[in-house]
Amino acid sequence: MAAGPAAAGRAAELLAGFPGALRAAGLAVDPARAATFLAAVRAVPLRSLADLSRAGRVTLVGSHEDFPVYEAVFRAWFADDPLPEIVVPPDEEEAPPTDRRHDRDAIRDILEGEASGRDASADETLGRKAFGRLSEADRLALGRIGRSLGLLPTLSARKFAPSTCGSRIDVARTARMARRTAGETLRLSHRTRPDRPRRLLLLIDVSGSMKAHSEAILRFAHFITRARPKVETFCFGTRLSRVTPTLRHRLPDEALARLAGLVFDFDGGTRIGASLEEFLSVSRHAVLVRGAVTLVFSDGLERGDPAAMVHAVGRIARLSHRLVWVSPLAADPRYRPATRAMAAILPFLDAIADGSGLAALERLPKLLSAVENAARGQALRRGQFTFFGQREPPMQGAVRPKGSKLSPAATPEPRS
Amino acid sequence: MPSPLTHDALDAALAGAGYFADETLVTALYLALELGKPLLLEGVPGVGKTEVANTLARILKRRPIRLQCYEGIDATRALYDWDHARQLLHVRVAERARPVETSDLYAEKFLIEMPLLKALRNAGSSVLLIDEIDRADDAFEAFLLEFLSDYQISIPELGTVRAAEPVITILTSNRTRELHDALRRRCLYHWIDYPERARERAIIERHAPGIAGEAAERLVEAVAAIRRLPLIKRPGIAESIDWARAAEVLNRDGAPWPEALKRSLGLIVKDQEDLDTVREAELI
Repeated sequence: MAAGPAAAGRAAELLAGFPGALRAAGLAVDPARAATFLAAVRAVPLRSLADLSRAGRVTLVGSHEDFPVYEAVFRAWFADDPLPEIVVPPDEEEAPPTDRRHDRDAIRDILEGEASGRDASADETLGRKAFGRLSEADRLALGRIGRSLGLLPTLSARKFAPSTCGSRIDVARTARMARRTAGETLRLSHRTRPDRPRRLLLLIDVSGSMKAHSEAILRFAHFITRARPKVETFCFGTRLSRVTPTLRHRLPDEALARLAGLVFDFDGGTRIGASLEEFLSVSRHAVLVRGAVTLVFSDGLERGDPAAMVHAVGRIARLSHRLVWVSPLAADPRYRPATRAMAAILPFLDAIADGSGLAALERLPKLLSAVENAARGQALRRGQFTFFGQREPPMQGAVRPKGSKLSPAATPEPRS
Repeated sequence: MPSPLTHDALDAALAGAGYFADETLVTALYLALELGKPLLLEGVPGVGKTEVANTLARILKRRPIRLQCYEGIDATRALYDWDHARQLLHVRVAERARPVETSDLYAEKFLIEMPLLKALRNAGSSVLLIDEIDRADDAFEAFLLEFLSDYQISIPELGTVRAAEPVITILTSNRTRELHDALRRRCLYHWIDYPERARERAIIERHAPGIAGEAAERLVEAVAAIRRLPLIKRPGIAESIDWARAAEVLNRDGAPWPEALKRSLGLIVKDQEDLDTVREAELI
């Protein structure tokens, strides 16, 4: 080996500094991982830079999403010399390791630059749309929602728990108790599957046409996200964003202020179908639908061809335990879900609810409890709507999947 | 723990056993053996995550021990349980002869070993697979931490059971749920992707040896094209092997290759809507 002590020292410094560079770029690299990395470098035969890169990726990165950042940092950190001293004996003059700081700063600049860009646009949007404070009536409505949380859908747990009146005898526990009484069974222990909350999935349309109702809906979402486990929320307008973490913020006004930047992408209007398709195409998101009670908060005014929306809603309905459409338009007693898109998805829905404000949303828990174990696809029967002036629900055949002849006066036209 | 095989020997042995791993996976496995750390494998379903552990067990001539995770799995399913019925009987029988000590009841013979304990006690002769960890709940993940970092488990009645050497442990996740960082931190990590063409072809020729050269090429091409379509469930390697085998059977019965592939399409695409999409695309 031609490597002098200085070169070896520098190689060691390069390697030891690499986890720090990743940390500076925002990856969660703790000392234990860094130590594993150094052990790995000693263990793996390093014949090329790619070998080093692989050993680093396996030990320092814990998630698939972080790979691009890792690759970028790796290139910046090691790439100046095509094969640094760690890999082959060096024979040229090296730059002092302090030069590396430059790269690290460059990486940080790139990443922070991006972040501050995001902040700036958030500020800009915040300027455009700020939420008001909570009115007294709404505060009371939230309180009432809080008291009816018990009505929200549940599921019996997989795991058994001891219970005084369970349906099954807990043999293990009975035996353990009997051992305390010299093997004599004095009392039977029971066990049961306790109820646990079923997942609620909220898909909220925040496009321009929903502007007037977004605040109430997001307050509702914030409230139940805080009050109950297993609530997932996504907002969509022109693009889709998962807002569950933001909604977990303790203070409602703060949570909503943060959402304002994230969510309000007004221009362009809704592409409900495309947004829902996008939602389903990410398997990590789509898996949240399975077994959940899904609430879609939208007026359903899809522009253009509703085929994509119908397809996506159909699939969401199949994956969900129950699917409820919450539309602010349903506040009008004359509302009929008769636009092409709404008429086509109607057979998939379990109910259509009024979403025009917190006072209306207050009735949701009760509706959900009614829908939870009822037959599927009963939106029509359940509807408070009257079709063609009749009091009774129409025959199934009256709702044509792509029917365009049903256009009563009260139904607004899709915006274009 | 020094690895029983060198990096390159491991690569060759995996290929010899019919598992064509990409280079990073070989590095990951080698490091898992050499450093004695668990390896977390993530990836979409059907890319051979579980098979890694089985193959590794085969080439190391160790016994695979599998812990299948599910929602609600707990310590008594994963670790150990006491054989309560036997304990009760023992008390009944023994008290006729002599007074019974409680310590008699927590003897080895009443202990039922579940996979984790079995792996700890046979660390030198087993490969532990903790399959689909994302199906278990968070609490179970936390429960695994002691095992994964120190290869030991505390049993209140018996004390701490510690493995004589690091247990070769492979965890898999389909990513239906985000795993906690505390768990990730204790593991080496590798993401298994769909294989590139050449590797997929090697896999298919290995597992469906009857498929002829041109047909194999065509099949691999079709599979790659199908994966590019917007499907509900994109086919994994397991599906493409099944497809190759089925087409092979049909071909042997006299159907020409394109026809055989077309007729067995249901083995690679298993959803009505996806089938329509694939048929419309006319790939085959």
